[in-house]
Amino acid sequence: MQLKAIFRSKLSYAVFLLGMGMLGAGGVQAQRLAVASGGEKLLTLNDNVNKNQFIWTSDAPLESIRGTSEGVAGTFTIDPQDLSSLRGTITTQVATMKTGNDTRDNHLHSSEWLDASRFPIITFTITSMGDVKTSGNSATGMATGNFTMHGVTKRVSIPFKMTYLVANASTRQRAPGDLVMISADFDISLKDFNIAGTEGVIGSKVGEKIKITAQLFGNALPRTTT
Amino acid sequence: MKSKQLFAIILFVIAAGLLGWWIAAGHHPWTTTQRMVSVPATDPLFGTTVVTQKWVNQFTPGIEMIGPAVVVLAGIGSWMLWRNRKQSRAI
Repeated sequence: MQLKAIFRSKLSYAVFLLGMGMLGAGGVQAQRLAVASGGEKLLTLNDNVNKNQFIWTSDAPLESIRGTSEGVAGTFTIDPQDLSSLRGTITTQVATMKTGNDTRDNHLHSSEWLDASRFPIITFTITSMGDVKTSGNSATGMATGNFTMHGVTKRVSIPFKMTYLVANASTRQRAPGDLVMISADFDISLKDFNIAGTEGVIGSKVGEKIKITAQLFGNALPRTTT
Repeated sequence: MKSKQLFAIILFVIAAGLLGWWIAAGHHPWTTTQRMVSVPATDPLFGTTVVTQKWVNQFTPGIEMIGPAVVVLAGIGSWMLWRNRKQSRAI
């Protein structure tokens, strides 16, 4: 009734309602991939689809270090018709992180740095999705969740890109079900995770922020109800 | 006498060669035994270029290894030249 009072004519009120309806429909549409696949599925990261890998870079005045982390695993629930409902967890093993120098790798895994013996796994658990935009079978968005490293959990938001392929004869040669590719680039601050390292090294030989690129591949199968 | 001088010069040349090798190899602070190689490949299913990082065995010297070697070689060479000069003066 208050809205009616604001609009001087019934016509402008109708136009307003139509506009709001279109906006609402657009909002729902933006969460959907244009693929002939729906319903909640279990997405599992799978190296048979393509190689799952984290690539990280530390840029410091005295040294630039690049490394990989290959023990990547993860499961998600995903509905291609409602990407806002995507939830799941990605993990990587600290012990698989390497830099091409065995001594440096040992330092990285040691208690002064990531402390692989006490905190062997780095975890990111997605708790909400935002800013999801779709175009055909691709989507971009922001995955927000809890990033746990070195025994410290921080809430972070990570921008991602996703491509979704509905199962067909070609995809089945790699893995059963629909295939998904997710890529993401983000930074983490060592200070945020209480990683102090050897005194005087962070800021000179190791960057205060570590750039991370994630390349994730998996296959999505319908969830079996028990 | 001359052989000591020649030996000292050889040590200097080796030291300079090691420094040159270190500079040419990227003048890294730390020695690495593996190098990260980016392997871009177009994934025919996803239709995008996927860059996979692979490790290949490649020895790259770092200054932590080259530095002491250069200092020791140059030090021995300098000492030999100094000794040689001292002995020449004595004669």
